[in-house]
Amino acid sequence: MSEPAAYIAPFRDLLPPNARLLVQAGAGDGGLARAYRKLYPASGLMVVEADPALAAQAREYADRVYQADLDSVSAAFYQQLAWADGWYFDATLEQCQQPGRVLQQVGQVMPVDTCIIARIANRSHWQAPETPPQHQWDLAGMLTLFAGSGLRVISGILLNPGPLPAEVEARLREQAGGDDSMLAALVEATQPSHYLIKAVPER
Amino acid sequence: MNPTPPFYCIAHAPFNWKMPDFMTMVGSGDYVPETGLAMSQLLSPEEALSNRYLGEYVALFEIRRRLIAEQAEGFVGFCHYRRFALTDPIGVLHQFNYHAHPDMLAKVRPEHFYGDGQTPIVPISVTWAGSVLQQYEACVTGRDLLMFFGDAIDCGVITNLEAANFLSGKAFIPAPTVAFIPVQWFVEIIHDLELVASRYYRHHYVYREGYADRSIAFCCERLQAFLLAKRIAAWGQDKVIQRPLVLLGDTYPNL
Repeated sequence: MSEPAAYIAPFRDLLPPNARLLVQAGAGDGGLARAYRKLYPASGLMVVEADPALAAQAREYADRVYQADLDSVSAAFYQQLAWADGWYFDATLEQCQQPGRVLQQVGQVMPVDTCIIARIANRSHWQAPETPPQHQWDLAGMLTLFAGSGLRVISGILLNPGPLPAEVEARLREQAGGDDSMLAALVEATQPSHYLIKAVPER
Repeated sequence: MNPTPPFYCIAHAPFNWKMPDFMTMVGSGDYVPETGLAMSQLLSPEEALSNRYLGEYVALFEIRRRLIAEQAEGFVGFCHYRRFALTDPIGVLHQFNYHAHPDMLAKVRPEHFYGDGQTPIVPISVTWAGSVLQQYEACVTGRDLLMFFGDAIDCGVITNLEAANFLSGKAFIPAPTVAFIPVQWFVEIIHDLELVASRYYRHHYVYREGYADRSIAFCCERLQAFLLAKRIAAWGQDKVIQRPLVLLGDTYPNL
């Protein structure tokens, strides 16, 4: 995982300003929620988390916590959150069993001015995670996922926690075989640890 | 050039005169015109009746989606059943508008509605005694306009400075929907209005009695006027046909 300070600021800045209600899909350490609350103290945050222990932790920073699994809740669950100003997934979308279905259900209840922000691990990152998530995508796969869920990606940010190690860069150079544009494409694909994706309903 | 660009005429109730055949009638609320589009048939009952506070904008949001689905290009025109922006106005100029009897509509040729098909035709900008905000407050409730423009800033539709300058300025284009403009302008402007209206409804909408309940429509009109004026300025003020609106009424002169 990248350093919290490195991704929290751009993530927070992509979230809708001064939200009445934000929905956080999956519990985290609360760093992002606290950073957002510092800017917008009157905003409400609801966390949806299936794991009882993680849900209990989330109560430390969230106004409300639903212990529920987004993969299996009914359409009525999503409908009751139709008044949320935005949803965000902090490296949790790739942990859903059916991420496309979850996105689709959120997208169906979202008002037109709201958005989904997701920080998603890059499958092509040079360093494979110790515990791979349920799903792994490269950028093209992420864009396909959102488009297939009725959502339009309106912005994206590469999260680069640091430069490539020398040996990784040397390997990519070899792979590129002297082709500079291919080398640039390989570096661009493998350097980001995550992508920050902002999407809105396709309506 | 397409000889008959898409042209929509919006009405919320039946009326006693006939609009030109090239226009697509659009019925807002529960009004179902004999031909054309009826919001009550295209949308859910709740959505169609949201014209209570959104006015004609419910129909405009839907038309925008249709234009995108049709991959429409070029220009698109809009009028209300009794309000038009014409290249050659009819009737008698009274204050900021022309007043004309509905029978005079028979004298209006299609090209008076859409000109050469590639030049924007828009209502004139009207200057008021006070600021835009004061003029709004004099008619309804200033708080609504302030909140609406705050939401427009939060949605990224306008900047703080643009909002401050517009609300403290003394002029805007009334009935900015009534225009013949590039499809792209319409799609972009209506998209922005829908974002702001959606956020405003969730965050700041307050029910008001009677006519004043159309607060979101009134606020949309001001923001639309600003967004249209911005595009006119970029296009070139001298390359746009700006005319006083023509209003029809049974008691108006029949020349």
